[in-house]
Amino acid sequence: MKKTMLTLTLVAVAAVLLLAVMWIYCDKSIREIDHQAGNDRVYDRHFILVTEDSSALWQAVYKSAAAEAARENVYLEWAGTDSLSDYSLVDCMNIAIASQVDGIILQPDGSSEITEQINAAMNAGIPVVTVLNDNAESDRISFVGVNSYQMGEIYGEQVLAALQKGYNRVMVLVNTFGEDVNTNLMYSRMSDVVEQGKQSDQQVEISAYYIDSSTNFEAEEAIRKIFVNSVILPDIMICLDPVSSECACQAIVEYNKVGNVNIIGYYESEVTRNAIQKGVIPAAVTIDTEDIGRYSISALKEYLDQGYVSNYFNVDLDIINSANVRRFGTGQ
Amino acid sequence: MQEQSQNFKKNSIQTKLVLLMALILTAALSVNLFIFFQINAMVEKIDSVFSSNVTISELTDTLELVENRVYEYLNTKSSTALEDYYRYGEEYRGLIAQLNNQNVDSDTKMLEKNIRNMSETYLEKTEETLQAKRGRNVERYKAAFEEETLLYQYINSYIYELNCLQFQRNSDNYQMLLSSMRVLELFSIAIMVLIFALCLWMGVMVIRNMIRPLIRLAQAAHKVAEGDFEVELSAVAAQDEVGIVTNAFVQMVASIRKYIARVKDSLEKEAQMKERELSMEAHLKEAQLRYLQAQINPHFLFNSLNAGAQLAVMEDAEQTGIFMEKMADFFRYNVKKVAGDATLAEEIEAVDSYIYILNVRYAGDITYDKKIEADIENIRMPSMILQPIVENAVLHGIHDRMEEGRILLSVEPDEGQLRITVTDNGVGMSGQEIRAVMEGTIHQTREEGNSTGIGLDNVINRLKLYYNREDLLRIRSDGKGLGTEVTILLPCGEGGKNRVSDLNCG
Repeated sequence: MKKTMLTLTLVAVAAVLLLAVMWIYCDKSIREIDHQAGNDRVYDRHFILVTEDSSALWQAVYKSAAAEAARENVYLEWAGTDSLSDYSLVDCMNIAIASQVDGIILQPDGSSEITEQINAAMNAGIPVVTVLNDNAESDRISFVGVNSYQMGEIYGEQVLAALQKGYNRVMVLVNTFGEDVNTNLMYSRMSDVVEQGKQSDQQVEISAYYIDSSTNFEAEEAIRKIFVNSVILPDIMICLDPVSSECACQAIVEYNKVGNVNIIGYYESEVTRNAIQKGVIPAAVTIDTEDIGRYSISALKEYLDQGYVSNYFNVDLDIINSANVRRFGTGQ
Repeated sequence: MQEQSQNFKKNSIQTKLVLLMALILTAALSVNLFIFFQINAMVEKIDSVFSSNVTISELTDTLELVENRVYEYLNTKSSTALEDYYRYGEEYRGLIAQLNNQNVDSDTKMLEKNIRNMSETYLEKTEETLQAKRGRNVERYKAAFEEETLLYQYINSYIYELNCLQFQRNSDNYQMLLSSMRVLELFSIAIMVLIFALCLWMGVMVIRNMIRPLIRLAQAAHKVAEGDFEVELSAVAAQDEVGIVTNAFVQMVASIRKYIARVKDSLEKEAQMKERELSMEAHLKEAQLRYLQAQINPHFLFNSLNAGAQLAVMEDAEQTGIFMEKMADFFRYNVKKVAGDATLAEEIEAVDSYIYILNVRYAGDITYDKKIEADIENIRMPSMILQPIVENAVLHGIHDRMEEGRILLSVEPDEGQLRITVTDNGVGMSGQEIRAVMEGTIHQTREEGNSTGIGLDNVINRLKLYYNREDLLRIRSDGKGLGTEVTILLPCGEGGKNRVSDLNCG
């Protein structure tokens, strides 16, 4: 009788346990669905990041900015990245203004429409911070970017290191998108550094090659043209944006010009790092994306909280070469 | 627990079965309700998941209506269009009011917020456009219309994006819920099977516990029906109908057992008493016999008589010799056969000897005749039957007229029986005397010198015991002085001790 009761109890307990497991499972499934819709964390503010490209550099910037934003209880949206429509920078600004966001982080393209949009946003009470490319003529509250003078010096030093005896042709790939005073300043300073630092047996010709960024895939096409045309193929190629840098790294291998052309890349993307590691290119200039993200959010927050903010946030520059390449891309 | 079990046992079968059924049904119902609740929650979730898409579609439709009415008004300045605009505008405001307006960590929610804010900006812009139109400010309303059209496109694009995102998410959720439902189904089946097994087992256990005493009772009843009252059936603790019947049966069997024991006991006592009675009677008889035997040592008598007979032969006294021999035969027979049976021939021979002795004593006065018409050698009968009858005829019938006395002994078959008749022509008997003799109320004195000591009542009783039948001996007399006839009917082929199955009974 006791044995029977024990078995009976065990079976009943098993049934109850099964029911409990079933209930937990159902509850978990429903919670998972609710959780998918968001963790329901409510933020104080809503900032928007408006950029034209979504390269690794901007992804890194967004990542660091989003982390900083979360710390400051701000929701950061990256305009246009998840969108099905191909919005222009102006569209994104329009949308940001109409959406009544609390702040805009913008990489301006130097166009007058963008200047207008920045002003319109400021008029609507939405502060705008420009990042990497400045738009000084607009009413933007602050600029977070590199010091062009310093950048010109670093590039100049890298060019000097890559110079050979005799005649050297240096080509600077300038994206029309980023063509502004800062680029000119950088170019100018680099030229000065090279001119002053070159050896007597070295002749240097620095030229700029403009890539039209108004259409898609232009960078890759432009670089391909350079590599197939030996007349214009330089000894040293300087990339000022991550896309050009990756395209150049790809092209130098593809057209078997490793050793003939020294490419000074830009930003620590995986392609660029691999190229440096394999000795395909000697070096690349990189910027601290952590700083960009952090400064952008801080600038907006400071402005919203206090009504004023510093006009300029300087972002550190660094050089990646074969000696220190392992340090990058691992969170360093 | 023990107490609950005891309480359960006290219930009737009906209550037990109702409780069991209620328990099983409650368990099954609870599990079903639980599963139903879970499935319902899942289905509701699926429903809510897809309802978001429906709401978004409404947004698009209403927005389009607003935009169309704005365009229509700008185009025609129709008052209907304006009224419609206000109506749809309000409707649209109501719809966007349902959208999220907080900064929530969710891309869909933030899309909702953007749509809501853009829509508010859009509605402001449309108001501005309409105002400009009413103010006939052509430049302004055209510019404003362009701006609000651009916003309309953005909003539409965002709504479409939200719809796609929701749909994609809903599809994922639907897939997840579907797989959850499948798992739920397996769980449900497992639980139902488990509950079914549990209920079945409980049912079997309870019913078995109810039936077991009934089976034991049936087996016990079967044994009792076969006459075995020594069944071991313990009393049942359950106080239901089976328990009551079992306990009653146990009591009944115990009562029957007691009753049987009592009856057996009384029968044994009765048998013992009867045995004792018989034993006493036998002892009495034996005592009587021994008493008789003690009166004379028969062997000494026989030997003496034989010696006398030899002496008579030696002295040529032949008659004396025969007499002595007959005497010896008679007494030998008398002693030897007194306890057993003998053949009819032996009996008749004893009568012959007796008559011879009497005739010597009374100088041949008794006329004795025999009429034998049957095979007397093979007929066995109790000994010492005929001689007492003949002795009776001599002593009471012809004693006083010995010289005329006549005795006839006849043996003849009579309708499957053997009829033995002793007839005398003596003083006869009255009816009263005959009745007294037959009923055994007259006790003859055994001390008479002419008697061998065996009375008629003894003869009648011994015949009765030997054949286990009444009326084997009859006495008939026509009255005083008309003689007496004593008839014995010996049954052929029947009676406990008749060994004359091959008897020629005619």
